[in-house]
Amino acid sequence: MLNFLVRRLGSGALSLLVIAALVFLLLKALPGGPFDTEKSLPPEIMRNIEAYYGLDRPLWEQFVRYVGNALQGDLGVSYSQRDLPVVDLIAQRLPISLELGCYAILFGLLLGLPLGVLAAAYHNRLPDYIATLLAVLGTSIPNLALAPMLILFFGLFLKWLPIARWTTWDSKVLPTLALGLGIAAVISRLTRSSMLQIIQEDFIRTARAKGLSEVSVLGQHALRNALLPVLTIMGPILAALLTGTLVVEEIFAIPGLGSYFVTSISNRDYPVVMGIYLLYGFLIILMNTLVDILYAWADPRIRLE
Amino acid sequence: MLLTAVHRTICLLGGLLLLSTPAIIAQDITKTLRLPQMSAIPTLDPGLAQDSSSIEVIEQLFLGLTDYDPKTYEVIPELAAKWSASADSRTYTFEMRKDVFWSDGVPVTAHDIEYAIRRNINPETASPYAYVLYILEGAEAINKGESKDFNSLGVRAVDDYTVEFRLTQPAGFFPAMAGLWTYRPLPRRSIEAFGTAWTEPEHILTNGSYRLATWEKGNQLILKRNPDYKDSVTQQPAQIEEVNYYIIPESSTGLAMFENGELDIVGGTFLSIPVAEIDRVRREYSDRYSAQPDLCTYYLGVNNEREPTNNPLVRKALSAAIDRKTLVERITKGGEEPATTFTRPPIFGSVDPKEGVGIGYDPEQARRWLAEAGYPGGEGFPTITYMHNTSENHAKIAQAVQAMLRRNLGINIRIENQEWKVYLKSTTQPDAPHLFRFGWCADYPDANNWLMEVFHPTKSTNRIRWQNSEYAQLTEKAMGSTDSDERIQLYRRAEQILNEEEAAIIPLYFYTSKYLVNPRLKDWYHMALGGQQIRYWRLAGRP
Repeated sequence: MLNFLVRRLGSGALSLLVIAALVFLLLKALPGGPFDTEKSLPPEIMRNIEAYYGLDRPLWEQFVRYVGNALQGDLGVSYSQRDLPVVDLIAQRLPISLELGCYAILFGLLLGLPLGVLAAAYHNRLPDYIATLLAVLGTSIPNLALAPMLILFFGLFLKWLPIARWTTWDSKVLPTLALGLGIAAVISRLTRSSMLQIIQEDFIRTARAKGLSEVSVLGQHALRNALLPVLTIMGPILAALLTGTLVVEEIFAIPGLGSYFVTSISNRDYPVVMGIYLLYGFLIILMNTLVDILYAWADPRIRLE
Repeated sequence: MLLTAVHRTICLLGGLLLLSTPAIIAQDITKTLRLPQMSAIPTLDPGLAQDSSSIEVIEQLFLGLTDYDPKTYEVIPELAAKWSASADSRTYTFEMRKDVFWSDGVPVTAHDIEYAIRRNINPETASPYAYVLYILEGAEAINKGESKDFNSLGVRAVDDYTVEFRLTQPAGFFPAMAGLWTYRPLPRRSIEAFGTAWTEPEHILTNGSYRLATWEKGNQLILKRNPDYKDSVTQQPAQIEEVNYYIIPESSTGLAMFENGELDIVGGTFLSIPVAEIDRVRREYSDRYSAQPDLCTYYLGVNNEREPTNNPLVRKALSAAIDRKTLVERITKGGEEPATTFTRPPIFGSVDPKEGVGIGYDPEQARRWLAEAGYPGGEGFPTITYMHNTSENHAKIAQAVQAMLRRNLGINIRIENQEWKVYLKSTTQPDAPHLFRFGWCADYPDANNWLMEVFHPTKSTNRIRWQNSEYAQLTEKAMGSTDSDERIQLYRRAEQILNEEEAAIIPLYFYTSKYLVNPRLKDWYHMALGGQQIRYWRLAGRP
């Protein structure tokens, strides 16, 4: 286990360095600079600004400085908000994306898992058809369409919930639904198909033969095994959700990382883009490692080596 | 059991990382104005601001020496009580009011202005708008790093309440410039103590009609009325107690919030109304909707160096073949006015549209010009490129122009679009597209800001790659002249060359800002130069 963790740490650090170098080079290769405006700035003013941010130095030096500072926890300052260090920006926005992501995942699990188990238990009967219909709807309606529909119905028409912003508890309901329904659909489909497969296995027949109740057979024996594929996709889903989801954050005016990420690319705000990429890479590595550990916990046949 | 274990794990994981969101400050809705802004407010430092959302808030927090009359755009006093110019118009002296204080109670003095200008022109400050100070003696050399002699800079506090500016050349428009944010007084003690963090709510010192109460970057900004502020016109503080700016990136969300009573204004400066919704909101909210003139012009830049648009006859033919009236009535639909000149009326030095300067819609004449250029009936005319930055509205306008040129001249244009920053780069290259759209808005209300600063062959970006010595001389002479009548005539002639004789650009229309305003907001008006004068607005009742 320790061996596994050390190896993961090493390869993770290397991956992050590669990500940093690639993103750095790609950003510099993008046409258009962070300080380009319709009325081009006089060259000397451009020089002053570039000197302020150290952009007048050779590329390799900029990168080495960046990595050196990053190792000390300094990811630079935003070019579009000079008084805002990237670390502060992430510290302000990440918790909000995390909160939304957690609600969505929780909602997805709470709805998706039971729905999947139910569908498998009543295979090819009415509950299965209903669950399938819900899952197909959930996966095929994108956030982009679902979010405005939720706003229209619950906000403007019923007037039950606020339209947007991330403030009181009731303002968090619609974004959670918009993000969570799709996840619930994916989880329920995966749970259903892997349950159906597991149910055919010999050990389930044995469990039934021992006279265990159906709830116990499905809940204790089948579900635990059926969870493996679900766990596999949870890592990437979690990492993607935690770093913010652009569409839902934009539509509901949630000040998370996702909405800021795209703005910072179009602003060519290099330090912010770099910072968010590194964070995203770090979270993906972290989540995949966690999923591997959870694997071993869910299935004792898997050993971490 | 396993189910609960999984949930517990996830909750724990989430819970560990979960931090609480900021507490909501209880607000009295009858005293709070709620406004949207599309993106995070980049800065509250007047010396560093260059975008409209920063300027909007800075206008509420910091006074300028001068301000503009919202109807005539004439320069009126704000922090200055009065001003005078020397006989050669190269020295301006402003006498300041003595009843304006920083939020720590210290009086605002001429020394604060002198400090602000010295600080903003310093190359180490890296102020993007420092070039508006170049009209002051010694400023350009200091900003370029050629001089370190700050005593040579053309600004001086004569006494506590008198500030003097020495200019490199006579400039009749200087009082208009002196109101710009780069010229506004700054609190030295706060900047020196806290560096870039001086604009944080706990450090900032301001002197305007409002004070900064809360600034959650990228989420919301709250201003509270400054009780010590006395307006130069009304002698009263601002009417509305609290102003909340919310960051709402999606215009359709902003519109839904307005419809649900969660915002008091949407549109114009405060998050545009989606174009697809204009017809509906105009119908459904006829009592709340209005289109307000803006000081901006939408135009097609022409690459004056590339074949075939290097031929003035071709450019004139293109300009005459575009039916601007149809364009604004059928495509943009927001009450815009067709434009045949560049400087937006009623800015000083603009030409009244009734005078007929520029090229209007005349398909017959357009075909004749094209034939004279060697392309009768569009025969042999190569396919030219029309580029716009990616946007649904620009695409619609491009398609309409494409159809008009095909119908009236029998020529084909290819439409391309690029993301904004790439577009900015492409349009400064020698092989820039034949036609490309831009919109220009006034920084200050004088034609110098338009004709000189946008199209002067050497002293501007000159994206259109156009050389015309008469035009250059006219705009230079107008800049230095202090005779208003003469300046008006010089700019009129410059407009004529730019838009009519040479057709170096093709103006399409003058912008409007489309607004929805909750009826509880009284005395509201749109300040087209940006920086809304919220201090004069009132709130009556609930939304």
